[in-house]
Amino acid sequence: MNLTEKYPDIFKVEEFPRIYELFGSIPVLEYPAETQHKDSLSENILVVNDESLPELVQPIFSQKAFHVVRKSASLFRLELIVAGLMILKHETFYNDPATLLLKFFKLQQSGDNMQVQRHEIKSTTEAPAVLSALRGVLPVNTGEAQAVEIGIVLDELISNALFNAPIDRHKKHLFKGRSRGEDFALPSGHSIIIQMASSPTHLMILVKDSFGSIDAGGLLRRLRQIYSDNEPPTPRVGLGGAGLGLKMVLDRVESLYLMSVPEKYTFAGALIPLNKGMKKMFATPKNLHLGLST
Amino acid sequence: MSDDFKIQVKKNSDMCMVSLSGRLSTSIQFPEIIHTRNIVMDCSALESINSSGVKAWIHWVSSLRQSKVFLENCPPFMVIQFGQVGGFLTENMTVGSFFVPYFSEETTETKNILYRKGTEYTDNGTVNGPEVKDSAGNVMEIDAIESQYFSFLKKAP
Repeated sequence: MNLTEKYPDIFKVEEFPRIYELFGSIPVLEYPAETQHKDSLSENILVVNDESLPELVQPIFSQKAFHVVRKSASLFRLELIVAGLMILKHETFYNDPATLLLKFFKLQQSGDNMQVQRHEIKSTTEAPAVLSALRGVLPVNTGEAQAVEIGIVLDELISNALFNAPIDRHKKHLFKGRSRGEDFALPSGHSIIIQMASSPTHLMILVKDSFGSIDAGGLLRRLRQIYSDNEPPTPRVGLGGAGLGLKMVLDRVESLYLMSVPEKYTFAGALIPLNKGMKKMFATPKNLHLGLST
Repeated sequence: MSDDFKIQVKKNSDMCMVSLSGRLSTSIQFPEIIHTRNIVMDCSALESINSSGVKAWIHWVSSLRQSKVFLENCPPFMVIQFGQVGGFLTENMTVGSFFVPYFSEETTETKNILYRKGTEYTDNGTVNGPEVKDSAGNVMEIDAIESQYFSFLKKAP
């Protein structure tokens, strides 16, 4: 069954004719009932119940792109729209995600109080100012402890874009081995765009680089590590780690969006619930969107 | 990425007082602490952490295994790491006090309340926190997954 047939109440043809037409070709599977589906999952959306995520990790590994959306997602429609755009029209989401979000939040009637920030950085020395600017986009009643935890997500996404993403024309990583205390500038012509958009209920963080160097195999191995190990990760001393940064992000978000087109761009997006306190931020079921080319 | 992390060390014959402040992140240079029997770390001015800071912390505290380390005024982001990352809280460490976040569903107010060893919690992991109220008199709830947040107490020596 395709997306618009499966959720006719969400994608009413008269209300969203263009989306209806565009998304009409995207198959939607339900877990676990249709896990035996033999088609490629890379262009499908998998809708899951809350309890099924740990078992869900296995089928992800063999796929190049995958979208896992919870039935209970607080912004279920947004999750489906983002998945659909990442599958069929990824440049729309990549090029102007803040506008998309603005429209969506307005649709949810929470757009009046929406805060939007856009930053472009070209060196490590500019990153702390972006971290400091986060408070300005959060609702004033966001608790200090939760603000710190949200800052961790932003910090990880920016650090990853600065240190792990940059590659040269031979695909050699430029700064991956550098001490994280070292300051450097990105190669000429490259920058990192950070966009933050918040409504009273959610914060979306989007970090885009212009390298497109994400290692799909490595990412999937780390996901496996995170969701299959019962013990907490013990990072190696020194550089590298056991997917610790990825886990720190996943623990704190409701949705994680990762999309990469080799040698063009990568964007990492995080949707974080804001108005329910820190406990619910950590406990909220996760949605995961991977659009990875190899 | 430059940070504002600072560390101050005051020593006498068998005690070392360490005050940490700022962001535990990428550029931390922890000082080498010559062996002393007891090290007390005041963490109240720490502001945040990232995965590089976690790794740097683990590397540093692993060099302090000859001493007894007492952690005081640990902020919530640090307590979360106690339970989530192996090696963050080592066997020679004792958490003397830490902050617990509270949240009011009614007013969305938040507060961080200091829990002290021997008062709000014990060595064996018993937690007896205070009743905390928001400005409207509503009872606030602990704003953390308690089974995870307090899990380090069961591992404490």
